[in-house]
Amino acid sequence: MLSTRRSTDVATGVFLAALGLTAVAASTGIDAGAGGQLHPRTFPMILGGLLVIGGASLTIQAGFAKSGGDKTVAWPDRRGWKLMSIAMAGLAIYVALSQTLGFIISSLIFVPWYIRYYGRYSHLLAWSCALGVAAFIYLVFVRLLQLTLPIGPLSFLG
Amino acid sequence: MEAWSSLLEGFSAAITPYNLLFALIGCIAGTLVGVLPGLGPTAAIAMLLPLATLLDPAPAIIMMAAIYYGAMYGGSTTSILVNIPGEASSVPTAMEGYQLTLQGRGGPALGISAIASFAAGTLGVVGLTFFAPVLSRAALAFGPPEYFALTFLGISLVISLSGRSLGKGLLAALLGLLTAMVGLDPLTGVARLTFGSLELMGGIEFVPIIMGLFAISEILVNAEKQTRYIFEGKKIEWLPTWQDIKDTWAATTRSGILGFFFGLIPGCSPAVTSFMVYDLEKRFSKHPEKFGHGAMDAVAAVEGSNNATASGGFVPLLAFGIPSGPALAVLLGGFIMFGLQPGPRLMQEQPALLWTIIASMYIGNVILLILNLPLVGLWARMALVPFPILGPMIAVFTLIGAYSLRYSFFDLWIALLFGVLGYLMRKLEFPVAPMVLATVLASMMETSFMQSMTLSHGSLLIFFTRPISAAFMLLTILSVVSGMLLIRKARAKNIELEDSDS
Repeated sequence: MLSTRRSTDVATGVFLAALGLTAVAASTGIDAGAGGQLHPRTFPMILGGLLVIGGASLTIQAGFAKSGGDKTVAWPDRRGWKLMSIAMAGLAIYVALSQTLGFIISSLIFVPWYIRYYGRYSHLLAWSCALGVAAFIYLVFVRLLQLTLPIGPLSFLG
Repeated sequence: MEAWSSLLEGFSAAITPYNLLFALIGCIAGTLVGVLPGLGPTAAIAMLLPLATLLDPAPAIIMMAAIYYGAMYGGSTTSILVNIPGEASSVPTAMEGYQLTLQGRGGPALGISAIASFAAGTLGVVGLTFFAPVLSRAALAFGPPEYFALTFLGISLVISLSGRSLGKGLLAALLGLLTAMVGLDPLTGVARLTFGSLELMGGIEFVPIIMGLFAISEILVNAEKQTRYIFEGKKIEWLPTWQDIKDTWAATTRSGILGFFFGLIPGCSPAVTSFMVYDLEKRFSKHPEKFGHGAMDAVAAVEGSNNATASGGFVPLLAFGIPSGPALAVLLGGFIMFGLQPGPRLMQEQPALLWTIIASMYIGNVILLILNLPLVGLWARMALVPFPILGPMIAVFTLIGAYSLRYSFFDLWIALLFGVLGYLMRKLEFPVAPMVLATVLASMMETSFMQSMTLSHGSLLIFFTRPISAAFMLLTILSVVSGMLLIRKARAKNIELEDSDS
């Protein structure tokens, strides 16, 4: 399932055409606004329409291609999928945690976890890197560049 | 002759220790914000404005100008070493430079980038010195039809670079344009494709998109493979060879000239220059097959054009008080803060100040070369850091960079979403560059199209009846036709065209 170039191109074409169709449908609800020679929906609608045509063309072209369709897509194996998904989940948790704990504490959790999980390095190395990253965030982003980053419970440092 | 004597006087003022110190501070700050992904010169100049108020006008403006062109030097570092283009204009650098890092040539690529930045940046300042008044008038000939035709040409050139994936390149560009439509209409302020979401009303910024497509997808790909090192070899090169410099000087010169001219056009995104220069170099290169697999001349051309564009941008600013981008708009604010209004009157009333600033730009370029070349070895060692250590750092700094644009966590979710999209695009062989450029240019493209339609009362002929716009439209048609012919030729010979996407 979706292992060859032909099948992935067919599926991608269908997805893009559906996306284009959604954009066209959503564009019909755009208000007229004041002024302007053209309606604000003009561009989104044209682009949505072109995406429908483009997606359909890709599907048809891939479906009827005489050569190259059987080339396999370099999808990861089961272990690769697992590693990739865990990295993605780790990033999502990092973003979610940053909203409450701030970037410094979240980095102190995320960085050593990633180093340990993917590199199997020692706790000492992982925590040293995490402390270095946290110090860099505080000294460069917060103090030097004066960015108003959320730092959660460490807000007394700001 | 008059320019020479004024310039010499400018040098005598710019070379004082006090002015040199602030040129150095500006160069260091510019390099730093250039290296940090997401932080552009606009934010850095704005941050240092309070410090500038404590200074005299000359050192203050010298410092702010140095931040601006210094950021152009720093922008290539993360693009080349870890595939994070902090700005859209650095995307072609990432496409080629990162491939060179994977081959152990990250050091030479950084060195060539610094040298090309210096050479083309200086070329741009020469243009600013001697041709500013004449060229700035020509730049004002650009109206909405010309801007539309230029953006159209830029996107078509990038699509035509997609090699055998021309159709996929077109679809990627359409997806990029459609993404940029989300938010408020630039002319009427009507909400479009927001599906009732307040966050989407603010639109989707292109920086989190770039961060996702490049940096986050890079982390996902390397996590999947459990990569130990991005460069697996033992031997790493630190500095460019004379052969590298010889091979790239022509690209640097060409891109410097082209970049300077594009810098003159107010509002023209440096990304347009970068992608156009990249396309031209691929077409004229003696070894186009290297493009997409680590072409040193592409790195030189793109980085050179960035810096020449930065210098060119000072022409309309100093001659007419028209900033050609957001960073220069903040710099204009710096001038106004001191009661100075850039334009013809400033040239007559404050020539000493003006020539001091121009002379400081020559000095600033030398400072940046001296600062950046010794750092090359240090930066290049980054390729020797194991990816499990480098990866989380890339993620943290990229996400903080994306957050700092609008202080919005929504942008971070967008970066993650586009990270997954970038991962899928790599697997499905969709080129990323057309999507990036389309996202960056969509707003300008739509606004200039709408304005052109208002000017012409709805006639599309306006794009073909004005000489500059007609020339761009003709080039667009030629680029599309040549791209299609290239594919047909390759198919006939059963030769696989090289992909240009990373």
